[in-house]
Amino acid sequence: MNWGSATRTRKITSLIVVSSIIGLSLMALLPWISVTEITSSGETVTVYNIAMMEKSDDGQIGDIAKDLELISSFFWLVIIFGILSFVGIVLYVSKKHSSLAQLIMVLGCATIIFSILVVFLLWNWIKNIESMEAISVSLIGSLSIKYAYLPLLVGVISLIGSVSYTGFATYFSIKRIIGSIKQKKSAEKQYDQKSMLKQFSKKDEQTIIKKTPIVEKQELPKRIRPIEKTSLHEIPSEPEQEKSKELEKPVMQKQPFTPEKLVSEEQPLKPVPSETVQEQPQESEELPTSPLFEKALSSAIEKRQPEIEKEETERQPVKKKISVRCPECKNVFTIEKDEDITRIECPKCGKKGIAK
Amino acid sequence: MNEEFALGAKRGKKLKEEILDESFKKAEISRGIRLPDKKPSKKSYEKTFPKLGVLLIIFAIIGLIFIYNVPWAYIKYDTGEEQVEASIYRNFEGAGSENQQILDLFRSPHYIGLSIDDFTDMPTSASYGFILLIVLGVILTLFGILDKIRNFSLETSIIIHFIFAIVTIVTGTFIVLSVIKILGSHFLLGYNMPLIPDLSNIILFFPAAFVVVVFGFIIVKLAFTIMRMDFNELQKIKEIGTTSEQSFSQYAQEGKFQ
Repeated sequence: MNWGSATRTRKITSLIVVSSIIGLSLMALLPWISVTEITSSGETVTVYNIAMMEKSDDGQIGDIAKDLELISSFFWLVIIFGILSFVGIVLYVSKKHSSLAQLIMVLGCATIIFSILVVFLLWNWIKNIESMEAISVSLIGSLSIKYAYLPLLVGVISLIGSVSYTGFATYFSIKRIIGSIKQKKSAEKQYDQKSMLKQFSKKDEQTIIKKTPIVEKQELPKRIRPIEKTSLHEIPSEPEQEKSKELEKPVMQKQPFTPEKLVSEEQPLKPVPSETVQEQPQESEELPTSPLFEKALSSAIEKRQPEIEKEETERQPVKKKISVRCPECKNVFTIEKDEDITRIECPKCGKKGIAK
Repeated sequence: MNEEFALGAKRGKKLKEEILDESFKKAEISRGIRLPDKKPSKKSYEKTFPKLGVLLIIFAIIGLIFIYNVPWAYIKYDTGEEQVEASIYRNFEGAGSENQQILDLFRSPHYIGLSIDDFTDMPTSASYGFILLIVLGVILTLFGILDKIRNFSLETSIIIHFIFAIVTIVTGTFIVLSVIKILGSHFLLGYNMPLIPDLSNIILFFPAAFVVVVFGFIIVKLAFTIMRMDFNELQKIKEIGTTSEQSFSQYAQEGKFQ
């Protein structure tokens, strides 16, 4: 609910409550009926209000008063439910206990029922009185407007307010329900994707774990090869040894997960006649191959790809080719240097040094 | 045509520049390079629990004073020989047994719809309403004092405030409706006066009932105003997006609420 509509709903609710209070006051204040009596002195007209009708000895007038009391009680109900809907709006705006607020707001829609009852009963009451002979509805002075129309008018205003309130409340309730359904669906979708991703990562971990040392050995040269190309293998320095050690272990996890790579990694496993290696194709066969799964898999891979690539670029040192001149023999040669300090040795004279 | 086109292009350019300036300013403010322009501060919301509670108590006490001390009916009529004046208080005190005509007026056949019992019942129910308002005022004041100690959030305060306002509206309506019957009788007297025997020149007035009805309506109106203010304030809080864990006074001191 936006602020504009909340304010409008609050105003409508205020209108309902105020009109009902005015209606109740008018019920007690106004003269309702005029009773014509023929006595010895002539025709006398007595005007009755609700209090006078209640105290009357005449049973018929007493019944008429009871009808008006019923209408008054419906006005009271409109006030109570109007106030309730007001509370609902405030709770809704405060965004505290939103479901309770929704419930109260829907409950507030009961004002429409009571407003309809008020208007219907009042209209019925007027028609009923008009059909009587000795009793008539009181008129405002010399005007031909009946007093009973004033509470009826107030009842109609209350009814209009109730209808618009119900419209607003229903609209927002439907909107909220649709929103919650959509949210639920998207949450389910996200959950499915996450579970797929988890499944996939589990399978992936399993394949990594189940690779035997033989396979590791077979794959190791492939992985190390590009690194060897860029490093100074002639000078097996300590940091490089450490690096190579590090690379041997985490390369499996670091490498980006593309289906092509997955296949290329699995291909060399086929000719190896080992029991442990034979497990792997079985694992891959177990993977679900439905189009939905493939779609989810590819999206998961796509999502994961940039992260892994980023990690790799962060971890892999950037290597530059620089020309170095030996201070001893003045020989100029090219070396590949990373960001750290690199140990170099002149290929001509064998002078050792460092490149910062 | 060309001139119009050029004018339109010029306007568009100006508008674009304005938008760019504004967004640039916003960006500067968000980055902390520039201080936001100071707007003239509006009157801000206050936690009015103790004040409102005390005000409610005062209103209710004044109402009770009126009920007990102001005459519920003032009657003046001419018997032909002399003019009779009488002030009737609650429980029909002051009517006097000698004024038989006044007693007859409030007995059958009820030309004004009021009976002697009504002068007991109506003031009693109105006084119950005012006592309830005093109780509400006391609770509201206590809550205000508690709020000073515990420092409730602004949202909680507003909701509690709101509930009190609703109860006040219901009580005020009850007070009005319990007494308005008397005013109805005054209205009815204009129609039925020719029927009342021996009291053709009667002047009947109900001061206490009139005052109580006015009081009741004022209370209802005030409660509605408070509800509206609370609602607007709640909206403002939600628009600003504060969690309102701090009291308003703190915000006011910091100048966050404008």
